[in-house]
Amino acid sequence: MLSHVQDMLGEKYSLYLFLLPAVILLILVGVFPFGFNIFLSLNKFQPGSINSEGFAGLSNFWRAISHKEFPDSFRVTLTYVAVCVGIELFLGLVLALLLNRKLKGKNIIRTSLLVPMMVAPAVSAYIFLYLYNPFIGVVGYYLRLGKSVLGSNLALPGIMAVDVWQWTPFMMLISLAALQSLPGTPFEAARIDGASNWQIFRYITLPLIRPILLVGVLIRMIDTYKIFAYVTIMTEGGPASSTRVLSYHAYDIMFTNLHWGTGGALSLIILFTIILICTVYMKVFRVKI
Amino acid sequence: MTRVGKQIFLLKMGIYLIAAVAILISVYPLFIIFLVSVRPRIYSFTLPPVYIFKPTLVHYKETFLWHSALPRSLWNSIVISLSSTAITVTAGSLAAFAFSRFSFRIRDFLLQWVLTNRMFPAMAVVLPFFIIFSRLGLYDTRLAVIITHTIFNLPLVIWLMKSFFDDIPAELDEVARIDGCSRLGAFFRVALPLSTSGLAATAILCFLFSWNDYLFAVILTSIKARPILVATQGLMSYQGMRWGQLGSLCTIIIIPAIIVVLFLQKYIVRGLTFGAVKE
Repeated sequence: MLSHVQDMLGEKYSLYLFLLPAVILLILVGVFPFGFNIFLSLNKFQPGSINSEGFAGLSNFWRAISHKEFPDSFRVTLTYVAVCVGIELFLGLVLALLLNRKLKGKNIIRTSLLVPMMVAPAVSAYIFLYLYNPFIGVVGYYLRLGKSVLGSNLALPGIMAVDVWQWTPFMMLISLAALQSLPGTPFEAARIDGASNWQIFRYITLPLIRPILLVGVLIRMIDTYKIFAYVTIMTEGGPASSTRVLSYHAYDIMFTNLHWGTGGALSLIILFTIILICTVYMKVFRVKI
Repeated sequence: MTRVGKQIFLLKMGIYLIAAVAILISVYPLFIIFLVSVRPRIYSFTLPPVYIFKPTLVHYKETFLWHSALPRSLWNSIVISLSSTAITVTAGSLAAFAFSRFSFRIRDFLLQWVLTNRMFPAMAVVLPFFIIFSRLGLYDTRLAVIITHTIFNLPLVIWLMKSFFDDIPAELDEVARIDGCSRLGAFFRVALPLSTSGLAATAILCFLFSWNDYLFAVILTSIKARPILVATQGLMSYQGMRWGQLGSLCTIIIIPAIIVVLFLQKYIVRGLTFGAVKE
């Protein structure tokens, strides 16, 4: 039956038949919230209501930006992204270079390094909440910290450590995949010419795996920018806003204060800043997806 | 042993040592939460942690006896993840086939647009959903969560399945079409059967991402539709956290992740990079 319909519709229209369900779904979940956020951001509302009390101009955007916690949360988020992605890239690459050779039990090594990546971030947050606990947690005990990790200036590094724990394997795996896809000839040529290991890495390996590393960094940047579960579960932005990342800040504005106009504006700001960051990054490093 | 031979031996030992430390760091937190879930309560507050004891299932029993909502939460999680997977895999693999086999003017633009949906921070799209679902009476229903999970799962399916379809030579569908198959027929009789393992991997990854989602679930549900991952909040009590029970819940939630790692290893990298990096 369907095939008859297709024969009648012809080649061109069967294309739409394939694309239609996905496109409709994505318009529903991808375009609709965007439009609705524009509506929210341009109107005045009483807290918790969506009955517009008149056109607000750009005052919601102004209110979002001039909020006393906004600059800090923006700074915390950028620090978080830069530090986590940097450490993950470095550690991942080093581990990949070490493991990219014939080793006994390589599969066991790979499998055990893979597990953290697939665990729900919320579960990792609970696990580290336990490990960081000032009374019964092993981190404070073994490292002899003498203070609570999540209740002191160690809170942000503590959360970053969870990110690094969970996502370094990702950078390691894509580095490994890149290393394994390398051709052998340039390396033989370089060895015959007497290049040192460092020279080979710097001038042959790195340029060849660079494109894949750049894609990996892009994916991690996008994911760390929207970090939410760790902070919500472990610190709720505290102590003293030191871990209040952008997503948590927006959550607070939208669902604690119920300021939906400001919330809509904040949503758009978050959206455009990450798009801007990614666009600049892709232009600067000439990343193609 | 020669000098060079000795150096190589030492290097190997060094690498094994580093690998051992890496394994320890990556597995220890998961191991200890499992340990907490089977450790009798008398050892709960001892430091250094007690590693050797007679294991008990008392925390698992208590978790499900005391929190009457937990079985339903578990069921919610299963229904939400399965439905989200079914919807996105169906719609997504059809679209992926079109992207892989047809050439049309806005193809690249559409593909990029699909991907940007995955990039969007969930916090930047959740407020409209919250407001609309509240209005429609869909707040705290499984349907609300299922709909929102489309945002991250559909782009994943489209990109991943496209990469699997790209691996199948297009000549094969040409042959099927000469034999009288329609485009849709070629899809069902040739492309899909040849990529079953890819399809299974994609579906399981979708299931896991839906299972692991925290943000949409915590904002769009309260009691009825709450998935198990968010139900962990209920373990906070006035006496503090019930660690044994938390451990048992975490262990249960981690099981699908372990299954994925054991059976889908070679697809994980491909899945997390949207088919860009193959192993």
